[in-house]
Amino acid sequence: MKKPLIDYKVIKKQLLLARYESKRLLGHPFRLLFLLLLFFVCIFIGQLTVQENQVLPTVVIVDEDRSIEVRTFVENIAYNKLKNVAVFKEVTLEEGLDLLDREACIGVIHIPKDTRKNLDSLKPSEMRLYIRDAEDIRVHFLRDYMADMVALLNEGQSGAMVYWHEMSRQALPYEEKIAALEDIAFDYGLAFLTRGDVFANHGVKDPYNGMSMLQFLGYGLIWLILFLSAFFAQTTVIADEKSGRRRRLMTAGYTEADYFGARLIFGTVFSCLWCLILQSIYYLFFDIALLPFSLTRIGLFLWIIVLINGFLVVVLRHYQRPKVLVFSGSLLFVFAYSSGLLIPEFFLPTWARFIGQWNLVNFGDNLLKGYALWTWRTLNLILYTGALYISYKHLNEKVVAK
Amino acid sequence: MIRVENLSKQLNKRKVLKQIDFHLQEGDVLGIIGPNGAGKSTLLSLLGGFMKADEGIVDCGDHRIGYIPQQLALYEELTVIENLKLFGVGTCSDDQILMARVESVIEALKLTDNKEVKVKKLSGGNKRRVNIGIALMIDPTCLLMDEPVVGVDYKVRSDIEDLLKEMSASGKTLIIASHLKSFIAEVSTKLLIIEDGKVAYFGDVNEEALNRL
Repeated sequence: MKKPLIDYKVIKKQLLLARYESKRLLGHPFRLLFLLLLFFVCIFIGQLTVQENQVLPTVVIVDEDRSIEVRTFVENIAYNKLKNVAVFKEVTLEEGLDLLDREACIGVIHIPKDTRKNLDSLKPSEMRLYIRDAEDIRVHFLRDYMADMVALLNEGQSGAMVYWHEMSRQALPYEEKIAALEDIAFDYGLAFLTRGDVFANHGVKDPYNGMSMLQFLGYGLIWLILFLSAFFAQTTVIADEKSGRRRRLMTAGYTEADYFGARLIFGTVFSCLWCLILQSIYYLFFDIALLPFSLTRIGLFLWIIVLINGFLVVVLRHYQRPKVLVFSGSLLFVFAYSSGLLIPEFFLPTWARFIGQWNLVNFGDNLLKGYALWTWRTLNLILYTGALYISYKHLNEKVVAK
Repeated sequence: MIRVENLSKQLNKRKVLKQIDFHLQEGDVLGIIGPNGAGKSTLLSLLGGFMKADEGIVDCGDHRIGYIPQQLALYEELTVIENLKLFGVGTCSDDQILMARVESVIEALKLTDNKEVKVKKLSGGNKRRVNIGIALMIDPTCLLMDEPVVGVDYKVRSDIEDLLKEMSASGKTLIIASHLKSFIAEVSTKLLIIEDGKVAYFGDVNEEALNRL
């Protein structure tokens, strides 16, 4: 007799088994609490890191000149180019040096009185930079940047003076010398004042691809917890084998496909519930929505979850020797590492990035992060599905033939 | 009828069973005894179809085979009813019939007071009863049992003996592997002694045969 396309008896069996598997898992709340605890600990550590990064060093500006040109220069630096790197504070020189002594700032830029006037009349005028040495790499960066700016300004002034003397040696008329100097000052000032965005010009890549660190961490953590929860959920396969429960189900009218199907349903539902719980926690505590709501993405998300659960069932069901489990565990660690869940791919070594390209967890992570869905990745998912089907079939035949 | 002919099985490069032969009629209760590692559990696995034989024939005819493993193959976090329902739904999709069967098994095994209790909270003896009950859910015509009374007190053992006699009287074929000679002597009608993977004795239960070991 031809089998019906949808066999409700089979669905009923699988759903009941899946339901009881969930109940069984809920009978061990410590596993679930452990996962929640892990989630909160990771977020807490992440937040500490973020807060630490948010404490920007203070730079003091002592502007005794107060000319429009110097103001433009100060505002350009302080409130435009370096606003994300340092906090700028304008105080008197005495206060500034006091702050430096008390290590309340990392440097003092001193623009003496009449700087603009001296520059106009070609008298020497020097901007001064007082700095405090520190370990922080940002302090080093700022110190170098400020020293560079001050040196540039001073060198520009020296260059103009050299040019003035050269023109005097050539006995050029005063008006001509002034006109030439004004041209130089204009070009120089333009270049100086509009010196572009330092970060863009230095090509610093954003490792979080436009996300905040907390957002990045949120996506990674969700996948990590999903992965671990799927692992925890499916480890009962080992107990089923050892206690003879699975074998017993086979004598009670269940088939291997029923058992496998029930495991996939239970694992997928469990992972999805976790995803919703973690997402809600993230939304409630940090006001950050993580899941991109599109049918394609949700479909692919489910597909990946099913595949991960499927591979876990096959591996745990057929390879239960301690050595194999240790090897599989190490492999999972490499997979988790190379997927760039918690460490941005930007910082990963080449070999890890290569593995990451073929990594199911990485696909899922990228999916949540809203990266482009490459066609070849979807093709890879089809290949993974094929591989899962073949391993499932092959290993089942092996078991029956024992 | 159950027919086993020239049955051999090798496991981990060791020949566990060598040319086993026996025949059983409906209602027979076969007790299999033998020292540890003699191949009793392997023989049950071959009869249940969990393993493939290397050589020989296992013919269980049209029997519906129930299996009671030595370990308590139960879902500890589920109640007695849930366990029975889970193992019954594989062969019965009608909820009413299924629940009627669950109730009758609970009654037969004297588990009425504990039917809503989670298995992990039951005593060892009651767990053994549930272990047997699960096998009864498919209404088997042949029941394979691996050490069914190991670790139970006298009262539970006596109840199980009565239940097995009742099943035998109703025409079910029972095959029991145990190292407890007194239990085998109490419930079996036929005896199979396995030594070093071979049949050392097959026939009616008698004291002389039991004392061979």
